[in-house]
Amino acid sequence: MHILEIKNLHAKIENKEILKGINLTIKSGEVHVIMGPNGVGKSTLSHVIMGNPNYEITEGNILLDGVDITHMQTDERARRGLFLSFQNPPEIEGVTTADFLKASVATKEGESFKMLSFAREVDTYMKRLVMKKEFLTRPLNEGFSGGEKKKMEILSLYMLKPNVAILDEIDSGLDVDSLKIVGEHIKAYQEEQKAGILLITHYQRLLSYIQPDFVHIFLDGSIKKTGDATLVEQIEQNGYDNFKKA
Amino acid sequence: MVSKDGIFLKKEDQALEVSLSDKLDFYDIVKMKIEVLKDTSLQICYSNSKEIKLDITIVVQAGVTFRLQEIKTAKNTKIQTKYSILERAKVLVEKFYDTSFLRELDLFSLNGVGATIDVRTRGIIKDKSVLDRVVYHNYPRTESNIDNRLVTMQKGLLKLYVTTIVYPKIRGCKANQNNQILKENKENSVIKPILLIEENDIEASHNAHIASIDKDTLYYFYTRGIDEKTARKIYIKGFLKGDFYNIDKYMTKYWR
Ligand SMILES: Nc1ncnc2c1ncn2[C@@H]1O[C@H](COP(=O)(O)OP(=O)(O)O)[C@@H](O)[C@H]1O
Ligand SMILES: [Mg+2]
Repeated sequence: MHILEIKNLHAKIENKEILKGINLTIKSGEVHVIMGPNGVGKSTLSHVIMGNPNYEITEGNILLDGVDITHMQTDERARRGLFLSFQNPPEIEGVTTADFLKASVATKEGESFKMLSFAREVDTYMKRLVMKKEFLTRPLNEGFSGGEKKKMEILSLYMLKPNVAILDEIDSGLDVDSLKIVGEHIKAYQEEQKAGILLITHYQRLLSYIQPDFVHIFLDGSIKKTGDATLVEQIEQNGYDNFKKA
Repeated sequence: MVSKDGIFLKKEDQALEVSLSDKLDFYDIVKMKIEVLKDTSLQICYSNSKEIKLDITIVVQAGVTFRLQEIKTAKNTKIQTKYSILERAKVLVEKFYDTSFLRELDLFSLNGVGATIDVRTRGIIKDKSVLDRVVYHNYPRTESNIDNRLVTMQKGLLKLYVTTIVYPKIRGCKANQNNQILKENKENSVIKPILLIEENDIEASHNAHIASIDKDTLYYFYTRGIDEKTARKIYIKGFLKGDFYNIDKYMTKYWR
C-alpha cells in the first residue's frame, strides 16, 4: 500500500502565488481526477509534487509513504515511485527514445538491469500501444505527433511501474483512436499495478475509459470541491461557474 | 604502419604514399606528406603525452574517395594540415577529440571541378583551444560541408573559426557550415563563421550555436529517475553522435 499526501501546499513562481493551500491524499488503487479551466494551476500542482526547481514551495508538505519529500530532488522522488507525464513532453535532439528509456529503467533497476529483458518488455508494451518500432531509434519526441508523444509517456509509465502516477492532460491533442488506446492502457496499468492515479483533464471523454473514484474541482489555486464521478456530469452541463460562487 | 614520436598511422592498403621528415626543423616541427592515390581510408591517432607540432600535407588525386579519421587524446598538439583535393575527389575527414590545449589549422583547397570535402568534428575540450578551418573553393561545382559539434568542460574555452571562400566566377558550388558548441562550463567560447562569397551562383548555408543544456530538458530526465550526472552524459553523447562512423566505439573507449 502506497500513499501520497499533500498537506496545505502553497507554491509560487516568479513571486506569483499559484497554489493556495492544496490538500489531497492519493492511495494505491485509487483514481483521482482534477478538473478545472485553463490557467488555474493544475500543471503547477503536478510539477510542484514532482519537485520542479522552477517553483518555490512557501508552505505545506508533501509526503510519500510517510516520508517527507517536500524538498527532495526530482530524480529521487521518481526513484521512490512517483511519476509525472508531461502535458507537453519536450523534444530532445540526439537522444533516442531507446537510450532515454533504457537510462530510466537502468537507473531504477541498478545492478539487476538486463538488456534482453528490457528489450523484450519494451517490445511487448509498444505492441500493446500500437507504436511502430522505429520510434526507438528516433530522437525522443522530436517530430512526434501529439498522440505519439502521449503514447511515449504511457510507454514510460509501463516501463517504470510507479506507485503513484500523475498524468497531466494525457488526453489533449489525441485523436479518437489514440485516446481510446491511451485511456484503456491507463486503466490496464492501474489495475495491473494497483497504482494510485491522478488524472488532470478538461474533458470528460477520457473518463469513459477509466472511472474516477474522486473528482476534484480546481479553481484559482485550490480544490473547491471534491466528489464522485457525478461531479463530471455537472461540469459537462453547467461548466465551472456554480463552483466559483461556492 | 608508420610511427614516430607517438604518432601512428594505420594503413589499410597500398593506396597511400607517406613520407615523414626525419630531422626536426628549427621549430621542432615534424613534416609529413600523404599522397592518396586510390580509394582508401586512414586513421591517425594522437595519443602522446608530450607536445606535438606537426605540419601535414595531404594530396588527394583526381577521382579518389578518401576517408580520414583523426583521434586526438594528446594534449598540447599544434597541427597544421593542408589538403589539396583534386577534380571529382571526395574527402571525408572525421575528427574526434578528448583533449585540451588543442591548436589546429586546416586548410582545404578544392583544386578541381567537382571536388568535395566533408569535415565532421566531435569532441570534448577541457582547456583553451583554437580550431581554425578554411575552405577554398578554387574550382566550379565544388562542395564543402563543415559540421563541428563540440562540448566545452572544465577550463575548456574554445575559439572556433570557420571560413569559406568562393571567388568570383567559381560557379555552382555548395558550401555549408554547421557549428555548435555545448557549454558544460562558464567559459566564453566563441564561434566565428565567415563566408566570403563573391559569386551569386552558389548554395550556401551556415549556422552557429552556443548553448548549455536546457533546464527543462534536464528536468524531464529527472522525472524519470535519471540523476543529473547521467542525464548530462546521455545528452552529451546524443549531441555528439550523429553522422560519425564508429563514434560509439570511441565514446565507450574514451568516456567510460
Ligand atoms: N514559468 C512561469 N512563469 C510565470 N507564470 C507562470 C509560469 N508557468 C505558469 N505560470 C502561471 O501560473 C498559472 C497556472 O498555470 P498552469 O499551472 O500551467 O495552469 P493549468 O495547468 O491549470 O492550465 C498561470 O496563470 C500561468 O500563467
Ligand atoms: Mg496545464
